[in-house]
Order: sequence, then C-alpha cells, then structure tokens
Amino acid sequence: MTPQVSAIAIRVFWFVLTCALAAVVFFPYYWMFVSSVESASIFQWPPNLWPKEFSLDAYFTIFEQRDLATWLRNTFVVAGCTALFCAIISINAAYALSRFKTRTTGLFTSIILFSQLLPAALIVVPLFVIFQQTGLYDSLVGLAIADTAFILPLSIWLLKGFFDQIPVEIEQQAMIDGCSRLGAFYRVTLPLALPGLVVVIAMGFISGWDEFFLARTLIAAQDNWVLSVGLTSFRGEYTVAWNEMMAAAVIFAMPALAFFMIVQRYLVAGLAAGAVKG
Amino acid sequence: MAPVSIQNVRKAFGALEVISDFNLDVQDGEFVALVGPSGCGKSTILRMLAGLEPVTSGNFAIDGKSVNNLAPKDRDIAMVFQNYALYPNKTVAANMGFPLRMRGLSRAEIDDKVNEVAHVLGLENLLGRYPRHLSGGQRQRVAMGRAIVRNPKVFLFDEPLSNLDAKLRVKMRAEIKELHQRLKTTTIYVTHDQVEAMTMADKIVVMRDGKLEQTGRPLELYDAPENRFVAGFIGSPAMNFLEGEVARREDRVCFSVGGEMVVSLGEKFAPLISQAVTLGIRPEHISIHDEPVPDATQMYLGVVEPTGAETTFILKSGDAELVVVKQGRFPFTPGTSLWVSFPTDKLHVFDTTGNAVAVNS
Ligand SMILES: Nc1ncnc2c1ncn2[C@@H]1O[C@H](COP(=O)(O)OP(=O)(O)OP(=O)(O)O)[C@@H](O)[C@H]1O
Ligand SMILES: [Mg+2]
Repeated sequence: MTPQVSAIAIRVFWFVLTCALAAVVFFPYYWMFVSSVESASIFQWPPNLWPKEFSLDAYFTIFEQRDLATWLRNTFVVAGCTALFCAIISINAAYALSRFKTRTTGLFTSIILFSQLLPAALIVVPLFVIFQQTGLYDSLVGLAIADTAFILPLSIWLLKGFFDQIPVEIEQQAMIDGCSRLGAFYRVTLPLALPGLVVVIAMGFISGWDEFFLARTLIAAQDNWVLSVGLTSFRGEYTVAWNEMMAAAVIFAMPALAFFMIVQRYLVAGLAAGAVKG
Repeated sequence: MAPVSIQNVRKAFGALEVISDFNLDVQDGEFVALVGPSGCGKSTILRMLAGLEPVTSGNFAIDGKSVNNLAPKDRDIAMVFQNYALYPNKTVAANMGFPLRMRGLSRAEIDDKVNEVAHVLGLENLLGRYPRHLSGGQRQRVAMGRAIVRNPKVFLFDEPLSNLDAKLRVKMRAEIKELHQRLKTTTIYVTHDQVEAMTMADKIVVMRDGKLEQTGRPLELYDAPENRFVAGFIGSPAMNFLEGEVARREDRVCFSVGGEMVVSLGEKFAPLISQAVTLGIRPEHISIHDEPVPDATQMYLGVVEPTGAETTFILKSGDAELVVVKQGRFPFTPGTSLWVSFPTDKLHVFDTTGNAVAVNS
C-alpha cells in the first residue's frame, strides 16, 4: 500500500469505528422513541426498528389518564429551584474560595470536595429525619434543597476554576475605574465567568430534574411526585404500559438534550483570552 | 493633578514585613520612577496608594488629603497594570469609555472623549476591536488610553512596558514621556529597568528590601550615589567595584587589590589610609592606553565587544575584573596588555557597610 492509501484506510477505519460507537450510544434513545410512537408490542420478533403504525396516542394518554402534567410542573419547580439555589450559593462560595486566600481556604476547599465522596444512600436517612422535623418533608422546595446539597460541591469547584482563570487585576482595574468591590464583581467578573455560570445552572437544573433516590424518599403525596418517581408508576402489578412509559421517558429526556446543546456552546473556553499578555 | 505624599508607611503580610518606614513626597506634575530589584516592594507601594492593598500603618495623601480610608474609585487615580487588565468582553472603545460610564457621563460625552484620546494615541482604527485581536503594543496603548481618558489626579504605572519587545519598549518609553509633558499629570511609575527610570523620570526612588535607598534626579543618582547598592543599580553597564585597601607606597597614596593590582590615588585620599574600602568607577570613566603611562596599572584584555558606536572591554588582572566602555572602535585583540588609569575625581569610595565616603579635595 502506498502511504496515501494506508492513510485513507486508517481514516476509514476510525470513521467506521466512531459510527459504530455512536450507534451503540444512540440506539437506546432511538428505541425509546420508536417504542413511544409504536402501538404494537415492543416484544415482537424481529423487532420493529421502524415504527409500522405511527401514533402519538401514548403521549395523549399519559396527559389525559395520568398526572403527567402535575409531575411535569413539579419537576420543573424542583429543577428550577435547584438551579437557582445552586447558582446563588456556588457563585458566592466559589468567588470567596478563589479570591480570599487565608490559611483555611485550602482546607475548606478540600472539605467541599471531600463531601462529594459521601454517597446519597449514606445521608438519606439522616436527611429524612431532619426533613420531617423541620417540615421540609414532602415539599418540593425541600427536595430542591436536598438536590442542591448534592450537586453543590461540584458546582463550586467548577465555578472556582472559572474565577481562578480571570486575572484579579481586571477586577481591581474596575474598582479603580469607578466600581465598588461588589460592582466590579457583577459588572466585570461575573460576565466573564458566564460560561461557568451557565454550566452550573444547567447542571443544577438537570440534577434536580432527573434525581430519583431523594425524590422517592423525601416526597410522599402523589400530587407532589416528580417525573422520575411518576415513571415508575407505569409498571402496574400485572402489566407494564411500555409505550406510555417510553412516551413519558421521551419527555423526561428532553431537558438533558437541551442541556448538552447549551453547555456545548458555552464550554468552549477562551472567552478570557486576550485580557492579559498572550 | 496633585501632589502625593507617603508618610511612615509600613506593610506586613502576616509576620512578613515587606515595607518598613517608607517616606516619599511627589510634587504636583512630577514624574517619579520607583525602581529596585524584584520583590523589593514597588508594586506593594503602588497598590497601597491605589487602595487595592490595606495599609498596615502610615499615611497616604493625594492632594493634601489622606486617602487611607477611601475606596479605590474615590481616590481619583488611574492605573496601568503590567498585564494591561483590559476587559476582554468589551471593545477598545468600551474599555476606554468604562471609567467615564462609571462616572455617569452621557453617551455623547463619552464618545467625544474616547475619540479624542484615541486620536492622541493613534487608536482610531481599533475602536471596534476586542482586546484579543490586538497586538501587545496596541493593548498597552489601550490601557494607557483608558487611564488618561478620565483625566485623573495621579497616574500609577506598574511595569507597563515589561511585556513588550525591546524596540517597542523604547518607542513607548518616548511616547509616555511625551504624553506626560503634555498632560503634566503627577505620575508614579514602577519599573525594575533602571534605563527606563533614567530616561523618563524627573525623580528616581531606588528601593531595596522594602526600604528607600536614595531619592534624587536621575543624574544626581548617577553622579553621586549614596551607597554601593544605588551605585551598582543605576547605570548600564554597571559601575566597577574593586575591594581592597588604601595604603601608602613609595610616598604615594595607593589602592591595592590583594596586594597585586595597585592603583595610585593621589594625596586627597590620604585620610583613608589603612582602611578597607570598595572603590567604584563607571565603565566610561576609565582611561585605557596601549603603552605604559605614569600612574597606570597594567591589565590584560579579556573580551572585546564592539557595538558600533562604542566598544566594551573586559580587562583582567589577577582576580580583579574591569568593564570599560569607550566611544569608537579599537584594533585591540584579546590577550594583549593594556594600561588603565582612573581619573581620581570620578572615583567613588564606599566603606565596609556600603555607604559612600566623601573625599574632600
Ligand atoms: N499577597 C501577598 N502575600 C504575601 N506576601 C506578598 C504578597 N504580595 C507581595 N508579597 C511579598 O511582598 C514583597 C514585595 O512584593 P512586590 O510585588 O511589591 O514586589 P515588586 O517590587 O513589585 O517586585 P517585581 O519587580 O517582581 O514586581 C515580595 O517579597 C512578595 O513576596
Ligand atoms: Mg511588581
């Protein structure tokens, strides 16, 4: 083989491999979608890779016969509150850890990261007790607070990384140019950390959206169910409403899709490039 | 425009004292250069004056009023940082207009002033660009523009040229000096480059280890350094130092380095006899001859460095080494013997503690 031919062969090989991997990753999602619009059983053989009888009945059914609208609303409340709490707390904490260096800052930063190691299963029982005593049990905001606690260490670390990259001189320049310390932060630093903030908000939203374990434990009334809990109700004692479940799953998966589309755009680093010598 | 006064300032980071009892008066409209080796506390002084760093004790006054308790924005100063600190998400015009916007000027006023300053600095064509699309020199100029657009009482510069290449540095040096002559704003300029300080400043403040070593006009510092540190810091190539003893030999007052190299000094140095001293002489003040002359010391030529207009020689004798700079070109080859003599009125004498010793004629 000439070098050109072998180079082409290598590229073809990688292309095929990439396509194969992508297919493996995408197939479950595709299958989920197909099952949601296919009225026939999903257990036929050979499987229906292309829906024969396309119908959106399952989507109507879940809204008409189940509480999907309520669950959807609840999930939005929980996810929205989680994103909000997460943003507010991590902006303040990350900025403090990035800019105010004292002897304890490093220790504190490590402790925050360490708390990430504790599994939810370990904390959920104490959390349950505390929530019952404080009246947060069976409340959507309470669930959002619990979700926030779990995603916060990661958010703080991520945002701290963004603040660390912004030269402190830019902020000091803003203070000389006429801003207060807080003004410099809101007018100059925060806009520069916007990509990080967007990622943190999206992360908070998604973690509040698809969390199941805490939602199952800390929420009781069916009126307060969120989607992840609601999804489990499609499994009846004798039957599983597969296409309805898949329809709900499609709706459930939408924000994750939106998340990655938003984050991809903002994760592109280098907004701060050009501020300093380079 | 305003005088600046720094009184008894001390600064400690925890237990580490980095500035001790610093005093400085800057006249209205004066250009003062703060020089010293890395880590001597130049930036710290500037940052305290700007209000970016708390003061441990002492007083900073601008225009006769203490600014110790004022926020940076209320001190009416402008600062140019070493890394320029441009706002990366704002255009050049928005960068320069930002201090004006913060002061509540109208759009039209801001545009007017920004255009005026952009014209002065030759930035007209760059106003719509973002900092990342500018060269180092252009960024530097934008940072300057942002500082002067507001017409503050005091300019503070912290090594603004150190990120530029040598050629651009020389050009910007002249531009900043010219700008100062036009605006006449009180300026404090931090640099570790003594050439920058010499060429630009009305007054130079030499610092070492958080202490002020000497203050004076550039040529005053050059001609009459008060101690060995200042003598060695100001001037390039640096002053030559020879350590030895003053003694009387064959009825003449001489200076000998380890008994080997002997330099004859003249009667006025008689009071120093049998004292260990350091002799300092600037490279351009040493005379060299290619044949023995009275009172000259024989040395051999180590290295010759022709630079066109002038030539640098490195001469050796035993452990002693001298750098000599002479105008013009010379045919000498390394290894040949040369005779050096020191004009006694150009000699600097320092005692063992490094302080200059006055030699009265
Ligand atoms: N935040 C800080 N905490 C502790 N020590 C500091 C801090 N900032 C500066 N220092 C110390 O103070 C001393 C003076 O620092 P400064 O930055 O003023 O030096 P400089 O003269 O500007 O040096 P350079 O020419 O390298 O910029 C240094 O020894 C430095 O290590
Ligand atoms: Mg410095």
